[in-house]
Amino acid sequence: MNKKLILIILLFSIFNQITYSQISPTPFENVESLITFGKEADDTWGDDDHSQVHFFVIPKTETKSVYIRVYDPDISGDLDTKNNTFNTTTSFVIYGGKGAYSIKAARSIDPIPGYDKGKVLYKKIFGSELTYNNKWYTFGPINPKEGEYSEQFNGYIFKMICTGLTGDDGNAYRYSLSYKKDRNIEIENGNVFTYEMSFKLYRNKAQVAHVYPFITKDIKSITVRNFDADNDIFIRLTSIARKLVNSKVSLDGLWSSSTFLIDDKEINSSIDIQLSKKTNSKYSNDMVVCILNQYKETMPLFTIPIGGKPKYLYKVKVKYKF
Amino acid sequence: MKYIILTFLTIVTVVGQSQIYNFKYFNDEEVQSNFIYDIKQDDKDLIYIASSNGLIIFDGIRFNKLTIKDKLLDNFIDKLFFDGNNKVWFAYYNGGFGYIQDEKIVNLDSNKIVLDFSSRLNNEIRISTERKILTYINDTLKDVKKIPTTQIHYFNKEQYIYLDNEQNLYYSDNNNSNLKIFQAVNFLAINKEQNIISLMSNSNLHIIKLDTVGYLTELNKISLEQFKLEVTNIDFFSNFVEISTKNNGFIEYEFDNNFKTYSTKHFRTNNGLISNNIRCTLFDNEGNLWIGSIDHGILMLPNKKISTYKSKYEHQNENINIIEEFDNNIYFGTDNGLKILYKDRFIKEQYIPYAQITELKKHKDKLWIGTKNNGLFYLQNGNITPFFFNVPIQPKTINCIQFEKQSILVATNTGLYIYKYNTNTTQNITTYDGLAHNVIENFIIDSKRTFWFDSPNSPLYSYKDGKFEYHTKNGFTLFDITDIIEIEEKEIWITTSSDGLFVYKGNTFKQYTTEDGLLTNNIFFITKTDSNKIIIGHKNGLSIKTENDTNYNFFNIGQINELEYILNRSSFIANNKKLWIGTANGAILLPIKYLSDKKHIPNLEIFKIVINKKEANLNKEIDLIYGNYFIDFNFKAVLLNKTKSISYQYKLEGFDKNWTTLSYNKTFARYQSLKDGNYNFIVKLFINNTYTGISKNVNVKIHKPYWKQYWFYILVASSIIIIFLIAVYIFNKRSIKLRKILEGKVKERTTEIVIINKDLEKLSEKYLKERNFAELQTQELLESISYAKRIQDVILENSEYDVWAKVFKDNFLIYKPKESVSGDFYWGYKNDDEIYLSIGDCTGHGVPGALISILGISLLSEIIETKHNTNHILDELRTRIINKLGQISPDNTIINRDGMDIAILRLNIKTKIAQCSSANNPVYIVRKRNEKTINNLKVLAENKDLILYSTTPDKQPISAFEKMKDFTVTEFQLQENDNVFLFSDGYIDQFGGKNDKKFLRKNFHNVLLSVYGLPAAEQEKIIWNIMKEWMQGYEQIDDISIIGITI
Repeated sequence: MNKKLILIILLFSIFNQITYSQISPTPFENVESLITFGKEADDTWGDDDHSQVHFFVIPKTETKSVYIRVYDPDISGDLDTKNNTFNTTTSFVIYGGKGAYSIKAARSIDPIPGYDKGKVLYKKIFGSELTYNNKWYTFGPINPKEGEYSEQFNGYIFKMICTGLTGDDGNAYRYSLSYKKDRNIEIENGNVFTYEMSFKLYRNKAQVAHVYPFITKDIKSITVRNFDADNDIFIRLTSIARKLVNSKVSLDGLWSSSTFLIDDKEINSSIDIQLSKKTNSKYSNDMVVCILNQYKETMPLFTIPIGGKPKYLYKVKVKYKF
Repeated sequence: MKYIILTFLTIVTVVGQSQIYNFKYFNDEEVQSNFIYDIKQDDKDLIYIASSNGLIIFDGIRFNKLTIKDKLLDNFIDKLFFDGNNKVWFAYYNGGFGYIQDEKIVNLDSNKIVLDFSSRLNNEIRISTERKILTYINDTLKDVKKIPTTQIHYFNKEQYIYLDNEQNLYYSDNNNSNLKIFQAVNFLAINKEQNIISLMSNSNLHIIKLDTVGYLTELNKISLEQFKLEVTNIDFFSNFVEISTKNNGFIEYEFDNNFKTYSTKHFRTNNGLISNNIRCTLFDNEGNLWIGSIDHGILMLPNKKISTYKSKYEHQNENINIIEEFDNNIYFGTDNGLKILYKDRFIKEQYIPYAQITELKKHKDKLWIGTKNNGLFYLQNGNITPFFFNVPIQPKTINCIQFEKQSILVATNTGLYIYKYNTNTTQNITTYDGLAHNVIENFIIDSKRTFWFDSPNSPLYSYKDGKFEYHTKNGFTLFDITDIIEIEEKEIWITTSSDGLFVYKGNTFKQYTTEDGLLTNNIFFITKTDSNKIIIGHKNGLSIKTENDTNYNFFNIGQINELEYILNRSSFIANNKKLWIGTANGAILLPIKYLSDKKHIPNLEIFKIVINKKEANLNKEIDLIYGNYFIDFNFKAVLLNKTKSISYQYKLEGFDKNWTTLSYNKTFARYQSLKDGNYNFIVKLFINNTYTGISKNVNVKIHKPYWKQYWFYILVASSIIIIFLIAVYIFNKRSIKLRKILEGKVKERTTEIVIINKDLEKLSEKYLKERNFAELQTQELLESISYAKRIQDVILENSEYDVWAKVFKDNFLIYKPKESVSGDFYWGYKNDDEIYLSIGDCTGHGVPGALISILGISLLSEIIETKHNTNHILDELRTRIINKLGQISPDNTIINRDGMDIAILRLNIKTKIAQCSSANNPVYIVRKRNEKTINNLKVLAENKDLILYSTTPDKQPISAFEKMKDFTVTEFQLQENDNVFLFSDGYIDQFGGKNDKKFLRKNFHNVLLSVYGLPAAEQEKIIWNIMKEWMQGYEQIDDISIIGITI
């Protein structure tokens, strides 16, 4: 391949990374969008709890006000999943302050009591109006210090809970963490993560979606859980120590999981869990995925793989010719 | 030209001039926080600002930020509450709360998230947290009840309202009423003084009154749906409700006293706000509006009561010459035509393009418009029509328009035009008719139908009953008139550009100046309300005379910077409520109700006293023991808006003689090395260099040292007296004792003395006897000595000294014994051709010396018979002395050294060859220098003519001596006229002179040199006189003998 072309592609990739690093989902993840269904939607649509929690990390050194933006927050446009007619309302609520992250329930994959603790900073309910169809809605300005300080992340954490209040449609949307209210300018050293991601896969089988749990030294094993994959995808793990190892795939409306022991080489690196479509399909596949450690605790899934995208390290066998 | 104007189509264009508000922005360096959460003010006028970077306190000059370093638990403060009792309560965003009092922070909790503070009574604070309500009373914090409430507000001890966590508003009282009064309440604020609630619910603003028996009445409901606001807060101050929003600035509703009617102002970035994201607001005690933005720090709208209306475009700023209200609109006469104010905008009416409007006057259904160089117009039914007088010459420049019955009177640059409607006639009054000048800049018609005129270069003059009168005041004419009005149909008030104000009343003028309270003597306009509140316009301020004042006392409001470009006669009062003022920089609107003499006087306090670097307790009197003190008095008054106008004077009574000069920025006074005494520190507050009458003081007492205390003096005096008395007592006692002892001793002594006396008498008798015997013996001794002298004299006479006299014609002998008999002797002998001469000095003087001298003479006389040479003679003499006096014991011990020093000289008469030997005593020869030298003699002294030679004596006496040697001999040739001297050492060793010294040999040499060549008798006389003079006052210590001969 032409060297210049390779360089351009690389530069383009880097540029994209910079521009979209605090958008969720990101190109790293390669999912079409996040999705949350109305309260009345059946689980088989791909959302097990009609609620999705994301955390936004702003470095503690940040002094400027920030904005959290939601792309296409209302439920009526091309991106959303229609069930008969659009009749769904969802709420987006931003929490800060004490308990927004530190309370254990907030890190649960299900909306258990206490998961919505923290100070409500912003709340907005969207319905089926087309006001924000393919447009961004901006929450803010937000004082970074209004988040809950986490020493672990060395920054302030805001929690965004998207809840399907009424109806049975799927609200597809994206998030962005930005300095500006009218465009996406990344926050330096900011990040976004979740413990359970409900998302919409691309319909094209060539598209591979990814989630990236980070393996710390206390992780001995991980369990890859997925819901309502419709047996329509491959789930494979790649890391520095393994390549494309298969994980079980769930059926329609059901959970499935596989457990993998952690190799020493994988410690302090990310694992790339790839979800790729088996076939092209007319309709998108909405599903849920989460990762648990050996203690059955949820592990955060970062929009940017920490340590970079993992690459399998081949063991080289050298043959000598005499 | 006018016809062209008539046919000109009316074009209404929206130019878009709008009102700009002069917000004061405190930049990031001052406030150090962009994120503001709450603003409150305490009763010391300090502004407290809650931010995520700390608690900030503004004292009018500086922003002081309190943080964790100052004992806050967290820097993020998000709520404030002033309890009216010297405490400002604060809540931490992450949980916890406390209060600050006298700049000291007290933390009461570190966990609970506070939703709201309220005060039930002055000393009881209610804190609503997420789970419960706490109460703080008498310094104790306790739980009250568990109510899911987000806010609670007490109107009084019994009645209160609260919001539950589902946004329902309840009313409750101690009669157990618990009434749900509203649902879906998003925001709530109350006016405690008036018992009125303002709340936002479903995009509506509700104003609700709570009466004393618990009935709620909705006073007003305003829909805000159209604004599509994202409300962040409501604040309720007096008659103002401020609605803060996100992305839309804030909206102010100003209600009337009944809350029935209101006016609205919307503040955004396009009219002065720096951010449209507003979190909170506060009206401070001075009427300034503080605005806390979500992301751009804090702003303040000073002098909010003043609004400025300017052109949106720079080049369109022009003079607002005249203002009038007509047909419910405010019209502005500018240099570029007529403008009308519609809501917040000007709409330019191009009826009179480029015409400079000089006068606007409403009369019945017309608005009369005077122009410069374009004549007179009137506006009626929306049309502007030129007006022509039915005279040949039309006025071009209209200065002033008045109305009277059926007439319109127009002052122009070509005299006064009087048009009568009923007769359709015009009269043109000019200088021909008595006017002082055809240019009439201003005129009024008073209630007595007197015309008052102001023309350039002319004094004020009036016209009545066909007569013109020029008015003077105290002989001076009133020039430079800027405005004239009539007050209460009896007084004419005339303002001037440099002489202040003149009031014409009862045919006399009275002048009022700055001494009567006017801000300055330079006046631009004067106007009045219907109630006769008089307002006088100056550059940068106003002077006001209130309605009730009858003494013509003015109070002034200075530092209205919007009035910098004020114009003459440019004021207008609309509806008795609003004062419009035209300037060269837009129009100013001022609500008249704010023109009050009730000024906000800042609170002056002495807030800290530091004594030797330690802060004193201000609640106690400053009472110090004696010592060396450095005392700092810190004082301040808070004036938030006009900070530069505060100044202070202070004095420490008891130390300072005079008051300090006015200080503006210095807010402390330092005193060093204060000594004991009573001091009173007083500080006075000045505003705009005028004493406000407010002062504060604090007493300081430094006690005297103990040594200055009266009791110490008494103690010392008493001690001295006591000590004195004790001393006297002891002394007396001792004296008595001593006296007794002495008396005893006296008795003893007396007894002894008696005994002694008796002994003494005996002794005395014995003494007398012995004395008599001694006297007798003395007499006998003296007689013996005298007899001995005679013997010695005889012996000496027989010593043949006179042989020399026979040989040498000129000779002398000085022989002066110390006592009656002498130890010195002289001896001479002659045989054929040789003459012997000698002087001897025997041991001692007086009798002992005399005895040895006799022995010596005797022995010499014997020895000369057998010995010839002088040295042999001395040898033999010594031997015989030793033998005769038994000077050496058998064991060769010298037991006696009596003897003599001697010099012996032998001279051959013919040859004049001399031979000399001596024991210790030399022989001197004085010879002329030009004569032959005596080589074997020592030269002891000389002058230009003479030389004194000396023989070398043997250093041994004529007596027993340890190192006895044979005497030596010296031979030399004498010549004629040589002086030869033999002598004893008595002359040389004699003490005398000024310094009590010996005469010394060298002086003797000089004497001998000095007498050479003189006759011997003269020599003798001189030598002895010298000695006598030397010896004056001194006793002769030895025998003196000198022989002098001249060869």
